[in-house]
Amino acid sequence: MGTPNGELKKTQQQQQAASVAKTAATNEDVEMGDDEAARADADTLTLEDIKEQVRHIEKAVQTKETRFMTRTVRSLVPLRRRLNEAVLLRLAQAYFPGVSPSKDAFLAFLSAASSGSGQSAQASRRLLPETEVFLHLLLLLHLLDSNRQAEAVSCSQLLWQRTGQFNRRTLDMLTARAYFYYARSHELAGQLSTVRPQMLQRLRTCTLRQDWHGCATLTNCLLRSYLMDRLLDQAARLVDKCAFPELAPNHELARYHFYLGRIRAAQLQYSRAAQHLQQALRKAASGQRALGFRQICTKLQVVVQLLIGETPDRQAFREQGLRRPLAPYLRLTQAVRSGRLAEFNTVLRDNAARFKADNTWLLCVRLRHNVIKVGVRQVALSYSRISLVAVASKLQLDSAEEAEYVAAKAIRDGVIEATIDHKAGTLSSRETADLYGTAEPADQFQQRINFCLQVREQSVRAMRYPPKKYTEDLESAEERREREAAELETAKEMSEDDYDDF
Amino acid sequence: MTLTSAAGVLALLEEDDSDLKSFALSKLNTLVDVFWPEISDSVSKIEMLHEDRNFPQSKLAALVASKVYYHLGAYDESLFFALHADELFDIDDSAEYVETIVCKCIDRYIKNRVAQIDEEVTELDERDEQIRAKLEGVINRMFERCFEHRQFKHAVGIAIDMRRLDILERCVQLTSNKDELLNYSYRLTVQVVQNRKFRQQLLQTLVRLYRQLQQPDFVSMSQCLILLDDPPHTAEILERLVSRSEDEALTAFQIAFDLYENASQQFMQRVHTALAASPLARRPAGDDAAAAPAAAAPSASEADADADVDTAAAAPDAASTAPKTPPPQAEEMMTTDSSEVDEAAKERFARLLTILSGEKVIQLHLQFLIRNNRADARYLDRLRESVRNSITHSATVTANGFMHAGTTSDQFLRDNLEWLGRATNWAKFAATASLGCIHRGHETESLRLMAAYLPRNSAGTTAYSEGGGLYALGLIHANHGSAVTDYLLQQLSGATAEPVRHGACLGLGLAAMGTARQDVYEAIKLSLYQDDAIVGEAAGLAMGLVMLGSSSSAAVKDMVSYAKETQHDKIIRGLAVGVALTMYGRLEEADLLAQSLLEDKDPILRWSGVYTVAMAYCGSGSNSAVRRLLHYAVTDTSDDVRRAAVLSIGFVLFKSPEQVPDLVSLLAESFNPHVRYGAAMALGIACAGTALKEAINILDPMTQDAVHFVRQGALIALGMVLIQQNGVNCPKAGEFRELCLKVVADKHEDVMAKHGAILGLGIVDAGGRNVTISLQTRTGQSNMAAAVGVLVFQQFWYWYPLTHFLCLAFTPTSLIGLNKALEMPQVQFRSNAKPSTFDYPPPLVTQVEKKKEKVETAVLSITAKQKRKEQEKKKTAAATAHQNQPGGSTTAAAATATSASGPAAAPVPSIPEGKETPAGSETSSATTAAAAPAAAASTETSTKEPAPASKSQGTLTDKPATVSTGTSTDKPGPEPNFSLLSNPCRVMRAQQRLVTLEGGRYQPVKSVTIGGIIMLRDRRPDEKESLVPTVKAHGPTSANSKEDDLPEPPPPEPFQWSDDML
Repeated sequence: MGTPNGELKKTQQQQQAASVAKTAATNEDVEMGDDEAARADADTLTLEDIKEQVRHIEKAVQTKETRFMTRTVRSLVPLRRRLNEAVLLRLAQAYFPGVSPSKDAFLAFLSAASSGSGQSAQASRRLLPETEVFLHLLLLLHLLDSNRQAEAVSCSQLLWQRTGQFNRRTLDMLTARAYFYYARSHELAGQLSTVRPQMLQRLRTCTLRQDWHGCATLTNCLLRSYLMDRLLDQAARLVDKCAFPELAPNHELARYHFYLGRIRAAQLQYSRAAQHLQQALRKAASGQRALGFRQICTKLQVVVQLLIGETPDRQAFREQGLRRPLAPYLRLTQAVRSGRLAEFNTVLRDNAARFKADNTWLLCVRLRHNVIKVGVRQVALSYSRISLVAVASKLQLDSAEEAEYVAAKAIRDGVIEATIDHKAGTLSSRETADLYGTAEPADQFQQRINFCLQVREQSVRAMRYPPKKYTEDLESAEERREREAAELETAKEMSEDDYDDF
Repeated sequence: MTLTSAAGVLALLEEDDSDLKSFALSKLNTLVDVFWPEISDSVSKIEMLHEDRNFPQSKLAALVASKVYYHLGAYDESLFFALHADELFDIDDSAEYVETIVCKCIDRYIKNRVAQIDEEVTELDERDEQIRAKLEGVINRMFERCFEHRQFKHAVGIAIDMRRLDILERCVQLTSNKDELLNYSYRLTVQVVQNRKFRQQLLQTLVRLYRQLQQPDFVSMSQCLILLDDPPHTAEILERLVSRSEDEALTAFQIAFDLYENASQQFMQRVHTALAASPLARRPAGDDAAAAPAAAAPSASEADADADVDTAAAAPDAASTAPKTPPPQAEEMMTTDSSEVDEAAKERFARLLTILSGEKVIQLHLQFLIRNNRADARYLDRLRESVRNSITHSATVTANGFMHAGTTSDQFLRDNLEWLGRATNWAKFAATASLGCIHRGHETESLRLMAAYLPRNSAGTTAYSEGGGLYALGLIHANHGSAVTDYLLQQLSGATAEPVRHGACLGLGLAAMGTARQDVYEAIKLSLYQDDAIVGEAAGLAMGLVMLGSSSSAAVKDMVSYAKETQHDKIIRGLAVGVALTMYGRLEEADLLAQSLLEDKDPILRWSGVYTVAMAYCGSGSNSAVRRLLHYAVTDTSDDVRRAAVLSIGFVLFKSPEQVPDLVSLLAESFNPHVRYGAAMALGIACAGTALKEAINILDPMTQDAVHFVRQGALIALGMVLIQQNGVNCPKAGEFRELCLKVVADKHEDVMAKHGAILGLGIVDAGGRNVTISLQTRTGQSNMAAAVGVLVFQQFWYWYPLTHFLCLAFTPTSLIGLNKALEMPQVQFRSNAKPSTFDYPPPLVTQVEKKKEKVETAVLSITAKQKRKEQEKKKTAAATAHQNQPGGSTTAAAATATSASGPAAAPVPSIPEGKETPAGSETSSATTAAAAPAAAASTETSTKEPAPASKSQGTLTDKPATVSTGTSTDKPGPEPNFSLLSNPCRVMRAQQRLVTLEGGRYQPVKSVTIGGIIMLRDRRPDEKESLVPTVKAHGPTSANSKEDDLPEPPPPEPFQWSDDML
């Protein structure tokens, strides 16, 4: 399972374990012995945090401002680490109205509910759909984290049905998360391919309702499901026929680009694949977050770059957290760069298992050709004219014919600037053209400018203008007027004084 | 094992056997939701199958293709194929696919129909042609479903969107609640349908449907007819109602009042002519003059004779005399139907005519304004004291005109004649014209009132005051001027001096507003062609006024071509406004003209284009118009155009004032002061009288703006927004008055801002605090005169005398109940709100006199008592006159009264020429003084007459608001939750919905919560009615209240008697 979500999960779980250990340690420091009370305190704190998020949700619904909702969605990750049954039970009691089917469904997943600490605190207000989905999501996360997969699947199905009943734009972000965990829980249970029709249908609904978050998430889930089943063709078709929403959040965009990269690489469109992978890395979270995603993405990128004929940046292999996982790829790069077929073959042999696990094996195998191409290039650069037999021996090819074939392919692909003299059986290189005389630098420059402009445009769009901020200047305008009036007055007085003097 | 690809099924499509293909298609139909990305690659094959005529399952192919396109997001294609799938496309299915396609279907159909009907595109897309019939089939099926579920409102809404009148009719036929559905359709028609042509069709249909009702809703029907501009039918309805019964005549009267409120002058005239042709109108030749509206213009002598006689009494009087002495001709003409019933009907018909001619409405409003005048002269005094400059002086006079608009109280001018004498030249013109504001609607005596200023008696007057006099005459008769139009025409042709011709043009424009009278138009055009800047400006404006809303292409051509020819900016400006006025309310008809003007290189013409858009889309709330205006507001190079464009937004959106603050909030912060000014005015226009908090929040900081004219605009706009508000409902109103006084008194303040503050103060207390500014009538239609008034008022930027036009926009906030004889019976209305909420603002407290406040409440009852005495005197006089012969003793009395005052004495203050002080003011006050004892004498006899019941009622009702004010100020106890208002009462917009009719005797014809003039049905017709006495113009109220406002002399100090004192 070399897909990014798996990696993501792994790192998250590691982090979670670390944080749990940490909190446990601090708890031990503060409250010796009385473990029960400490846990109750922690629960209360968690509960308060969740209540805070619910307030954010209410505010978001009231003001129709998405930024509050973004904050809530972001809080899901830290919150899930601190969840437990007791907290969820208390949440259900606090928020769900007295008797309702959704409450029963909610409580059915909590084993503690049956024992029933009967705190039937009446919900004060009507339960917002947003809040309900949020609480339901927390429950689903808890089930996933405690490895109750079967229950998680049924819980996610309930949530799926519930979210289908609403058509509220304020709900979009939360439903998008719900879709994701729906797919995730089915994947863990090994049933992802069975829910594809449902997801396709919901994708259509989301498109019609212009729910861009849902669209983006569902497209990614579908792609993932296709790729898992190696239905590359289907995935490619879906990508071609569906426009990915421009307003999609960054993390979905990163995933989408990664999947696209995989699809394009498999379709032999390496340069496009490279672009997508670069975008994916750019959009991915930086630092130590989403490390797994970056690892898998970089691996693929290295291979694709090699396939284009580029040499990956050395820096990429040195980055913290990437060095060890990328070590085989470093060796691969070195082999390709040197153009030595024997060395390449040994690297492949040694790391076959690793590459297969990373889903890059097939691409790596394709690299053989590149190794030869690099060899040809080096030969073409070194000799202005060389016989094809010599080329064959240098490249460890079987015959001069094969060398001719390789050279011809390289010329056609634009790898080398050379001509083949059939009769003489030689390969003669042309003078290398002055690159600066061509439009190439201008094109490169234009590309960079476009990129910068795009970044700028995006940041301008992301800017917020606080409402009614502009009225603050008005006080100063009034002051200025007063000052002017006073100045006029003094000027008048002065001129009068002048007259007095005469 | 789940299927992972549809490739196998798709391969079957390549087979030759059609059975295999059919099987593949039916399989694909189930798979399409999951494998659409794959199937979409082969969609062309499926399409070919659909087009293959030999293929048995071509419809299924269409369905599959439709579904594929649906998933691909190509909804047009999808719709196309879905329609070709015919019965396979099941619209009753609740699947998302079906719902979406049906929605698209409706959208497409609406688009096609709108293109077909509104834009008259006869040739549709080839593709659209193909599916048209099928589209209609689906739509009809949708409607059937609506009918089944009895969702008639949905059906009506969509039918109107689709321009399907047949569906509308069917809905109305099928529904059980026809009234509600029709009213709903009417509302949609007026508010939503933007296209003028279709709206006409729709209205015609509605009228037909209204007619088919068991009990036709004549009130709504007449509303439609106004919009349809169909006077003959309106006349027919009125005639039918009047001729039927007394009860239905009340409805007719009510309709007539509504008509007068909503319809244009031209429309009313045509209703008149139509009515005049009816058999009921055939009356003795001698009385024709009184009945025929065109000839209703009283000659000067008649006006004198009627001076003291109430016209309300005169009208039925004339009517009642008519049947008594029918001349032989009439007898011959209708020998068969001269029964008693007919006579009663004739009488009712005569009453109807007085309403339609507008006399009754104007007279009732005048009565209301005179009776309830609460203008606080102390503000004016404060202004007068702090004014130092000719601009502010002139503004103060104008503000006085606003404050007393329609109240006929010119006491302030009388009291300050010497101060008034400082006005010279054009200031004098404006000052004279302000009398027109004050006496607005006082039509019967207009010529006599203004006699001192009119050119005929120009012994000592100057051209400026003569011109002002003519302008004032126009203001008095604005939008109802058949009586003076000819007089003004004659003056225009006779005059030579510029100011006189200027005034005559303005006056003529006002009086003949919207009549499109060719002779008037030609006369004004002649003045224009003399190419005199001053006269030309007024002439251009007047041409527009005369042709108001006619969209006459000849007039537009005249004006635009002359505007391009002339060198004078003033003339171009006049014409620019004129052109805009011509296109009033014509919606998209004006688009071409507006576009050509907006693209002109002359900024004044672009400015005219902006106003043309404003007037054409006045009150329509049209998005395209707003977008256009906003575009010019931010892109034009000329400041004038930008200012006008922002300001015009107010005109377009005045029916939804709550939208405007949001829209202009950014513009109000523009770097360009002209745009800021425009934003302020847009708020003032759109939110006038609403006291909308958001609007005030934007305007408030603008009163401190760095640029003087922005402050001016903000102050005026605030005045408009806060008009009539007291400090309780809107605390800002009190502060605003203070602010204005502060600005005016501030030595360092710019004169423009002072001008704004003075006008703002005048506007906020306009019409004796009994009027509001409203660009729409009570029924929500655009008030043409008001829109024109506000638009021309905005031209004060260039020409101060045009400020007076604002008084056209003043609408009395009255609630007047009338009985079948069109008299005001004494009834009470109950306002279910704390009296203080809608009370008049408290009078200005000055530091010198603290008692004033207290005195006012005590005094009012006296005034009321005196008023009543006079009324009773008049009533007895009228009664005696009625018994004897018409116009007997009263006319004699009036004659003596006028003779006493002497021919030279005008009952208005004359503005002194230079230093000469006239004796006029003294003599006129002498007349009023002389009238008082006479009134007292006659009341002696009449007080016994009324029944005791009515007497007690009288004392109750005669002090209208004192009941409430008394409790709120005197008693510290809790304020009552309601107040009682007696018949002609002030009811503010917000108060309307809280008002109910008190007492069981009368029943309103329509809901009293609408306000305005309401006919009351008498449930006990046998009992004697007690009527509200009428008050005399600028007589008792104005003169007395001024005196009453002064503090009573304090009682003498306690003293001890001693002989030394002798």
